[in-house]
Amino acid sequence: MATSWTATPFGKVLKLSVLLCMTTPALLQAQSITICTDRNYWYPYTYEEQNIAKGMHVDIVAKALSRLGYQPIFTPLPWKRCLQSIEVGLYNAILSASYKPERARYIHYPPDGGISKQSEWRVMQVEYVVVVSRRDPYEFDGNPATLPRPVMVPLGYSIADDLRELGIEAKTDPSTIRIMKELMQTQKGVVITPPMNAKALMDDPIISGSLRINHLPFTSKSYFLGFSKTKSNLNLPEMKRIWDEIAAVRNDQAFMAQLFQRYAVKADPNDEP
Amino acid sequence: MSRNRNMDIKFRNRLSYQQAKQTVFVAFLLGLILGAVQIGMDLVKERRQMDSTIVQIVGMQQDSAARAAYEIDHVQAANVATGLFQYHAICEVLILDDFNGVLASKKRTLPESWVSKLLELFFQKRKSYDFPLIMEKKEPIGLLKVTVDSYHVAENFFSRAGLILVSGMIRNIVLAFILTLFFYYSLTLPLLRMIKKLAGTDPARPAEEILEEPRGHERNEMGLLVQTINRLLRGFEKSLVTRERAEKALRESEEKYRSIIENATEGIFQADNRRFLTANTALAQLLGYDAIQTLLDEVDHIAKLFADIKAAKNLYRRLRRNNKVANFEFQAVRQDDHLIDLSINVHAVCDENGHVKYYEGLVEDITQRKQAEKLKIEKDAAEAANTAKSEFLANMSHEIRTPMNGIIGMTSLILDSELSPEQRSYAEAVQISADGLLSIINDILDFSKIEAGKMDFETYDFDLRPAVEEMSEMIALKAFEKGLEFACLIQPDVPSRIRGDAGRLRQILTNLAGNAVKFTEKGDVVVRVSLLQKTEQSATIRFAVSDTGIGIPTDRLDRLFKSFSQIDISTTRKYGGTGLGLAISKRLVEMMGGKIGVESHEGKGSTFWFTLVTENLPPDHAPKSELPQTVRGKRILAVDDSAINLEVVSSFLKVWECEFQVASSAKTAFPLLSKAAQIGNPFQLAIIDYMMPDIDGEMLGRMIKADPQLKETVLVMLTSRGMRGDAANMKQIGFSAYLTKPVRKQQLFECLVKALSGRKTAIGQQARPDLITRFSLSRGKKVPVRILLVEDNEINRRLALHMLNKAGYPADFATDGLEAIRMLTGNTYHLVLMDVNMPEMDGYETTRIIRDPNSGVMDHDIPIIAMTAYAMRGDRERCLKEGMNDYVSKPIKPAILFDTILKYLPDQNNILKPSPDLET
Repeated sequence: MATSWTATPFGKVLKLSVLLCMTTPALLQAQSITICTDRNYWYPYTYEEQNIAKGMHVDIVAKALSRLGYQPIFTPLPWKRCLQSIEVGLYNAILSASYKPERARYIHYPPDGGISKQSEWRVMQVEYVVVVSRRDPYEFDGNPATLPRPVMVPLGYSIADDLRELGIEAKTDPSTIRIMKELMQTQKGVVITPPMNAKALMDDPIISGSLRINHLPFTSKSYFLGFSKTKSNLNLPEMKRIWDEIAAVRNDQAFMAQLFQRYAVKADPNDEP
Repeated sequence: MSRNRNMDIKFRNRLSYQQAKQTVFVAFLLGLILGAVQIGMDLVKERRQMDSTIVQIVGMQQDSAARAAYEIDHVQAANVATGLFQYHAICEVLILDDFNGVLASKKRTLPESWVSKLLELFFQKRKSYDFPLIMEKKEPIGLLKVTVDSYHVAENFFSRAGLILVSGMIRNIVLAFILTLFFYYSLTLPLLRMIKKLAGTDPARPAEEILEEPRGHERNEMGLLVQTINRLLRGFEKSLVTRERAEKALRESEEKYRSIIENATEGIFQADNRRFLTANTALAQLLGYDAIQTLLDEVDHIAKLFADIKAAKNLYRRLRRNNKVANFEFQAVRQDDHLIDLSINVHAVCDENGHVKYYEGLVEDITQRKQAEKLKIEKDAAEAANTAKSEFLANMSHEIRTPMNGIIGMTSLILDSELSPEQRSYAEAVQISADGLLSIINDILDFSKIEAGKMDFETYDFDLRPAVEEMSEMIALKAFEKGLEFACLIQPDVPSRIRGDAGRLRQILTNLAGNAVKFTEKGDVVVRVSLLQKTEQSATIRFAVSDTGIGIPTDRLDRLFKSFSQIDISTTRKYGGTGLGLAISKRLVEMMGGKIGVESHEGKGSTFWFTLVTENLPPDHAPKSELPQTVRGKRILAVDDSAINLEVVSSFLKVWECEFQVASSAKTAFPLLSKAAQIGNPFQLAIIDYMMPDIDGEMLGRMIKADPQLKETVLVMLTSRGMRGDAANMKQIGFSAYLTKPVRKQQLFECLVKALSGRKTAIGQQARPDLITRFSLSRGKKVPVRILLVEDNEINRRLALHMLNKAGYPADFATDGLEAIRMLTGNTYHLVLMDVNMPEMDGYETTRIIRDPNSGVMDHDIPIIAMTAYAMRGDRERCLKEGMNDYVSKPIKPAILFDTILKYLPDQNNILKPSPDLET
């Protein structure tokens, strides 16, 4: 009876050697994930400095991915270009994207991305507050229609699209402090911006004391690390594992404390003095 | 009527219309071509302009479009498209991102017109431009497409093109009208006038109606046409007149011809082979006949007229052969049997077949000419013999001069050496004989040259005074030897510098003065030079030599200036000489444009004079010296028994502005000196003649020096005696200077300056200064020099070296030109004495090499004095032309040689300056 040569001791040694040769590089080299981020100045969540993606979201995702052994490669892009790139599969993932049904055609969101207002697998939950002139008595009551005009929004924020969907024309500007100063001078309208951003700018000596933040936030949205449906080197379980790890990092109190401390006093580089 | 019809030219046929039509056509064609070229160039330019404008406009928006594409910002992209639409030519803008998404798209429709259709002929109606959108020089991130409608561009282009064409058309129409008018008035009208005038011209007198040049056309073709027509008209008329005149002249000529023949001095005839057919009166008379008819009748054969029948045969033979004989000379026998020399010119007159019809000719009487020719031949032969004789004499003279130089020079040296009285007597006899022989040779030479027509004159500027004084010095020696007084008086107004031949002047003066001395036994000889006349251009100077000699009988005066002529044979025996001197002088004076003459009283003396006309020359360029204070205003007494000598000295003292008096004897001089001293105005200097009756100069000097009041007087002795030992004696007596007569003006001046200067210094420093003599004065000018003597003849060389050494001039010698060049290359000399005729290399060639700056000679400007036995006048000129500085003829006279040398040596005497008036 003939025996296969692979069953021989020599064959076994040879097979083991070939397996080792094939697997060793994979074990030694971490899997890289290309991620495009918004290069607009959405401080402290995502922004770009010298063509390097930075921000709290970037740090959280980087921490989670590195814990899992992935090597994230961040590329800051204009937001629309970032979305187009994900759609055509130029990158593996996009950071930070709120859920929108049309985006869900080409982006993998966490399972509760389209359901929950505050998703379990979010990178962060971001509120948008309404800033008015201190002399303006307006107080947001949850009805966007009551917002005084003009409604000014930093350029690139998805809140602008949300407002347009609500039938409110939003005036956008790349400089947040410029629209804050315009509000201070005209004392008309509102600026809608994340609270951390608003607070940081209101500490500016020129603006200080001229503006105030309404108590009721305009909205609160979960922002995700979304994966490209066109080009993804990960399967859904792997994505799930990453989203889980992001949640774990977000719940790491010590890490988050450091993160908040790091981004607490950063000013807008586009702002004029 | 027909004339008027010819001038009625239809408008379309007129020159003005034709010219205007052609010009306008050409202008239209050119305008069309140039317009098309201009439009074409405009089209190309417009296209380029459009491309450039689009690139510029899009370039301004390209960055914004790129940013919109990068941001995928539709709003910004729309803004960019709106911005580009500000340019009306852009009809479509499309901005795409790199995901093929349309960021902005904008379009508009431009109106259609007739231009649009033409547009497609010249332009692309729509033209698209693609501009890739790039951010920060990376990969393209989008595309900007711009489409341009050429309507706007083309509209401007077609407007301009239309304007060019329409304006060209209008311009051509206006031009056509203007040119037609212009050509009508400038061409047609003047031509019509000319035609009208020409049509009215009388053919018999064409020049009566001369055309006028149309106004404004004087210098153009029409003017030229009118001038040419006028010239032709005049020519026609002139031809007519000439023809009339020719016909008249022909008639007159025939009359004149007849008269000429009748009145001609030459015989004119027509003849056949034997007899005269016709003849004029002159021929009849030549041949001794009373009338023409007699000649025609009696001469039955022309050959019989010939004295020699062979000549007749010869003439007939030549006439048959050539049909013509010219200047045939023969002797004819007149009717009275006398022979006559005739010259005949005769030719045959033939018919149309070449047969001789008759002969005609002209006979001339050449008897006188023949006789003259004979005489001329004889005269030429005699003159040739004479010239040959003169040339022989000239050549022989040169051959004699060379050894004569040796004889005279060596005798001179012998006489300067220690000799016994007998030896001295012999040597002096040799010297006298040699001098006499030389004088004869010179006379013969000059006479030969004059006779041979070879006497040349040089013309150069020279100082008259030194020339006359030099001559005087030489003659004075002979005069003093005979115990005669000799003086030379040159009037102050005589120009110092004149132009002429100094050598010839000296020769004439020497001859006249030499004769005066020769024919005077006692008394004096005086040379006077005075200004006879002066104009702006010239001066006439009179030279006169007076003596107190034997005089000349009045009836012999006319023979004086003839060749080989003396007063009488006894004179020749007594005084010797060739009798050529005065003849030569006369010829020389006349050849120089002057006159010569004599005034004489037998037994009392004679005055020979001559005049010389010279150009006025500007004064010498040398600065005029101030008269030294040592001489000016000094009180001077001149003492001489010779009135002429007193006159000479007085003339000098006057010029030097001295306060002077004269005394004719010691007896009158001494009281004058004493009286002047007593009144406190003493004479500072006395010029005293040695030879005076009663009390001589020496005694007077002793008396003055012995007188305490007068002993400070400076004494100058003038003597004609010049005996050995005199100088020392005079110095002992107390004389400051001792000069021999005739004293030169410059010499006396220098002497006075020196003597008066010495007087001042003598008071405190020098009790007895050196005696001033002619030698000491000339020695003052002598400087240590080195002379090179170039001489091939050993005797002459030894003689010259001896002379030079004796005079204190050390000299080296070279025996030919080559050796001289070698010596001048390696040594420094101050002067060269150059013989001319030498073997190997002659004096001329040697001089040329010395003067050549490329030769190795150390000093190319060294003075060169020629020494030659060639005494022809051209020789001096040639020496100077070849680069030599001066010329001394052999036999060498020491005085002349050293005077010449002194002229070219540097003067180191800075104390004595030339007398100022000597320079003017």
